[in-house]
Amino acid sequence: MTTRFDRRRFLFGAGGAMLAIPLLESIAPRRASAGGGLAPKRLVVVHHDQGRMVGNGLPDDWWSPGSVTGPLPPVGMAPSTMLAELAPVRDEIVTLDGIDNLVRHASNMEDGHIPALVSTLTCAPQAGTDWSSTGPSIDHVAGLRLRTDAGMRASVILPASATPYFANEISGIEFYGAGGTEPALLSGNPAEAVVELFGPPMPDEGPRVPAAPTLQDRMVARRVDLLSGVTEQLQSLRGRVSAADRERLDRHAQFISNTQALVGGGGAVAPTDTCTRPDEMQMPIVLPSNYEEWQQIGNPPEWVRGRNDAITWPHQLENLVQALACDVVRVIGLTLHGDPAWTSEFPGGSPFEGSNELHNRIHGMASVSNNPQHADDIAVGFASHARKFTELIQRLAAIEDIDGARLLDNTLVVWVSDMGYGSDHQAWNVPVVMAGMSEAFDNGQGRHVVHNRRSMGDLWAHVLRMLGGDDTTFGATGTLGELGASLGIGDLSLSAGHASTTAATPLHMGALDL
Amino acid sequence: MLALALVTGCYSGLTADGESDASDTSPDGADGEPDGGHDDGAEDGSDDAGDSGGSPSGECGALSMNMRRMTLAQYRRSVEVIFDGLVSPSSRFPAPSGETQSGFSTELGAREIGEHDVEQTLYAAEDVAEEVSVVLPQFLPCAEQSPPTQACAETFVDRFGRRAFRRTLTADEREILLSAFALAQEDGASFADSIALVVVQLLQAPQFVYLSEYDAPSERPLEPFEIASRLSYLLWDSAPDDALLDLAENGGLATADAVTAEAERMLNSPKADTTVARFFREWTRTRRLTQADKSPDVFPSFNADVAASLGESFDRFVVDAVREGQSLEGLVEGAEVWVDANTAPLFGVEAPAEGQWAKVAVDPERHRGILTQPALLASLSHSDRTSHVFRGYFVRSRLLCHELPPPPAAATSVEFDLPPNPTARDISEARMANDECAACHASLDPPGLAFEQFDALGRFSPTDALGREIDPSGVLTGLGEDIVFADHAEMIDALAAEPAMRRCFARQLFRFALSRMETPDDACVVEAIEAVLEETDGDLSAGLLAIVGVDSFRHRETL
Repeated sequence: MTTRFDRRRFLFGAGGAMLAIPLLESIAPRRASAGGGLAPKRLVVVHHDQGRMVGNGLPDDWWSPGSVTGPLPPVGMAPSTMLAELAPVRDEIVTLDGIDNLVRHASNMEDGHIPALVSTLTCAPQAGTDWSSTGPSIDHVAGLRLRTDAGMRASVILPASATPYFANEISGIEFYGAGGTEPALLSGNPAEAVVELFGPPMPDEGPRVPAAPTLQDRMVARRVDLLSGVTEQLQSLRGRVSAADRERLDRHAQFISNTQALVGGGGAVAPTDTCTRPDEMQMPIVLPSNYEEWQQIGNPPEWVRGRNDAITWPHQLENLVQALACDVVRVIGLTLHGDPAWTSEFPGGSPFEGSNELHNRIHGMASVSNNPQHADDIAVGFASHARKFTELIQRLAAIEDIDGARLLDNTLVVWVSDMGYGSDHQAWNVPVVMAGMSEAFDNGQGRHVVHNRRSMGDLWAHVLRMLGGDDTTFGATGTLGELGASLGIGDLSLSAGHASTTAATPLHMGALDL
Repeated sequence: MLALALVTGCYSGLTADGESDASDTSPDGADGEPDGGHDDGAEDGSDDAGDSGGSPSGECGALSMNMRRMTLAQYRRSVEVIFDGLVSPSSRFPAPSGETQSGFSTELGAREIGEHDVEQTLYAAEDVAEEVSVVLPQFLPCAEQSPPTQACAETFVDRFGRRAFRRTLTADEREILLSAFALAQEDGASFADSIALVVVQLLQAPQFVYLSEYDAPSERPLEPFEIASRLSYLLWDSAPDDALLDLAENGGLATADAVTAEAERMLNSPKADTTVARFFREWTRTRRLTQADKSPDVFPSFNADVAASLGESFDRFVVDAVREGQSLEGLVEGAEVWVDANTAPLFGVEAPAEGQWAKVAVDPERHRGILTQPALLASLSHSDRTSHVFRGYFVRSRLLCHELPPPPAAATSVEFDLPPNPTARDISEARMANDECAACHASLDPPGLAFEQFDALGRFSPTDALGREIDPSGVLTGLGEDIVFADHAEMIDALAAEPAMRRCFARQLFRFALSRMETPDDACVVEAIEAVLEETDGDLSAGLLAIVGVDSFRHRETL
C-alpha cells in the first residue's frame, strides 16, 4: 500500500518536521502553497542525447512530423516514426523544427558531443575544453524565479532510470547550476531519490477508517500469493516438456520470483489525485545508485532491475510528479540516459548493452537505410524515450493541482536534445517537443511548428516568457563571431551547423511561433 | 555529376551452387539472415529423407515443435474464445516481438520471455479479471445463486480452465486454481471477485501463455487435445472453441481423415479469414501501412483512411482467392481486385459507393494478381520513393526462396557517379560498374526494376515524376533458363509458370505452419506439401491444408 496524504495535512506535517529537523529545511515542502488559491507555475525540462539519431539532409528524417507548420495527425495517429508513442497526447503537445544549438560552435574542442551537450540548455559557451559550461541551464534560471524563497531548491535533476552508465563522464552534463556549477543531481535509484526529494517518511497521524477494499485492492494484496500459484502451475507443466523448454520455464520461474519481489507488499505506482509522498519501502531494490558504485561492485542481480526502465521508470516518474504536486520543488530536469541500454524494450537482450553501444550505432546512421536492423533497433529504443514523455504528460494530467486544475495545466514541459543529427554531430534542427500549460501557447497545441531558423536562446527566452518573464534573450547574446572572439576562438567549429551558419549569425533571431 | 552514397547494400559473390542471388535487406529489415534454403534436396522430387519404414508417423516421421508463446493476435482471440467474447483482451499483454527469420510472426513465440513480460502478464491478467467479475453471471449462471456454492467455483475452473489450457486440467492444476478461489474467500471477497482472482492466476499460467506439448522419450502420436490446438492456432490463430475441444474429447479427431475433415471445416469458416490474410501478408512482407509510412510531402493524399483501405483491399483479395478455389497461378495472374472509394483510383477503375467494396476487373497489362497489389508494392518502397532493391529482394527471397547472404560491410559507403535526377535504372547501372556490387545486384535489380512503373504507393504510371518513360524490361536469371521480359506483366507470367516458385511456396507454407525455418529433417514434409500443390494444380486451400494431411502433423518428435 502506498502512503497517501491529503495535501494540506501533508504540508502541515512537513512544517512540524521542519521544526524538529532543521537540516531538512532545504528539501521540505513549502508552506506557501498550503493555503490554496493560485497554483504555482512549474517547469520540467527533458533531455536526451543525439537528436534525431540520424544524419542530416536525408529524406528519411524519422523524427519530424512534417516540413511545414500545421496540425499534427489526429489523436491516436503517429506524428512520425520516432514520435509514434506521443500519439495519445497529441492534443497536449507542440513539436518544433528549425531550432539550432548555435552556441555549440564557439568551442575549440574536437569532440562532437561535449560542446553540444554543455550548451544546449545553457546557451553559454563551454568552459575552455572542460566538460562543463560557463553558465546555468534553463531549469536553474527558471527555478530561481519560480521558487517560493531561498529555502527551496531552484531545480533538481532526476535520472529517468538507474543505468549506471548514466553517471559516466559524458552523460548527464547538460544541466548546470549558477555559473556552470554542478546541478542538484538526484539518485537514479527511485528509493533514494524519494528521500532526497521529500526527506524521511512522515509519521502517520492516527488511525484512518479503511475503505472497503476494491477488487483491485484484493488483487494487489494477493499478487505474491497468486504468483506463487503460477509458479506451482509452472512446476506441474515443467516435468512434461523437453529439456530445452524446461530451461525456458526455469527462467520464467526466476522472473516470477523477481516480480514477486517487485510487487510484494503493494505493487507498483498507485494512481492518486492528491499529493502523495511515494513510499520507498514499496520500490524495487536497485543497485548500484551511481557510476562510482557500479565500478566498485560490478553487476549484481539488482543491477538488472536498475537498468530496466520498465521497472525503475514508473517510480521515478511518480517521484517527479509528486515532487511537483507536493510543491517540494517547482523545476525539475529529467535526463534520459545518454547511453541507455533500453533493456525493457528488448526482452531477449538489448543490442545497446554496454557503454557507448548506442553512440556507435548512431554513427552508422548516415541514413536509416544504411543498416535497417540498426535503424529498427534505434527506433524501438527511442520509443522508450517517447513513451516516458507521454507517460509524464498523462500523469501530470491525472493529478489535480491546488487550484483544481490539472497539474499539467500549471506545468510547462519542454523536451529537447543536444543536437539535431547525432549521426554526424550536427547541432542544427534540434528536435523539440513542448507540452502542458496550454494557455501559454497563443496558437494552441496539437501542432507542428516549423521555424525558418531560431536558436536555443530564442527557445529558452520564449519559455521564460511563458512562465511570466519578459525575456527576449537567454544565455550568450550578439553574434556567433562576437562570442567566439570574446573567448579568443578565431576558428569557429561551423561544420556541424546549418549551411548558412557563419560568424555573423546572430545568437537570437526572434520570437517563436507558439 | 552527383555522388550517391549507396544506401542499399550489395554483396560479394554468389552462394556455393552459383544459383542463388543476393540482395540487401528487406524493407522491414526482417531478412538479415540467410533465407534457409535447402534447394538441392527438395528440387528433384526425390523422397529419400525421413523414410521411417511403416512408422505410425508416416514416411516423413514426426515433426518437432518447440514450446511457443502466443502472439498478440493469438492472445486476443484466445481471450475472446475463453470468455465468450464478453471480455476485452488487455492491451498490456506482452507479445513477443522482434525480427523473424521465416517472416512469420508466430516464429517470435520461440523467443525467451523477459522479466518485464512476466510483470506485464500479471497486469494484463488483472485487467481481464476485473472485467470477468462484472459479467460473470452472463457466462456462469450458477454465480447468480444466493449464495453461490463451491461447486459453482469448480464448474468455472473446469469449464474455463479447459478453454484456457486447451485441454482437461490435471488434478494438480485444478487444485492450484481452486486454492486461489479459497484465498479470496478467506479475505472476505465476493464470489465474483474470488473468481476474478482465479482468472488472474489462470491467465498467467504457462499452460495458457505457452503453446506446449508433452515431450516423451520417443516420438509419439499427439493427443486429441493437442491436435485440436495445432489446428486451431494454425487456422484460426486462436484457442480451440468448445465444439473443437468436445470433438477432441469424444474421439472425433482420432483418424487422419477426421482431422483433415475438421481442418477443412475450419478453413471454410469465416474465423479463418484473418489467419489466411496473415499468411499472405507475412509471406509477401506486406505490412499494415499507417499514415506515417509515407512522406506527406510526396504523397499528400495518403492518409490513415487510404492506408487502411490499401490493407483491406489486399486482405479481401487474398481471402477471396482462397474462398473462390483459386490456384497459386491464379493468385499471381488474376485480373480482378477489390476496391473501395480510396483504392479505386489506384487501380484506375470506377469507385463503388462510399463505404462499399466491390470486386472489379482491372487492366491485366497493368495489374496482375497479388504482386501488383498496392499494399504489397507500397510496403516494398521507401516513404518517398520506390525501391527496386526491396522489390528485387522480395522476388528472390520470398517468391523463389533464393539464399541471400548479408551485404558486405562496405556496401553502404560505395559512391557512384550519377547524372542529375538519376532514375532507378541509372542507379542500378552505376552500381553494375562496380564489380563487387554487380556480383549480386546483376541478378537482384532486374526483377525489382520490373515493378518500377509502380510508385511508392503502388500506383501505375508509364512515366516517372519528371515525365520520363520508365523502362521495366530485364532478364530474370538464376532459374536454369533465363527469363527475358519486357515488363512486369511478362515477368509475372513467367514466374507463375515457374516450378521454382511453387516449390518455394511449399516451403513458405511449411514455415507458416511450423512457425520456424525448415531443417534438413523436414525435407520430406516440405516435399509432401509440394506434392499436394502438384496434384491439385496449386490449389491454395489444398496448399494451406497440406500440412494437416501429412501423418507427421499428428505426431510429435522428441526434442
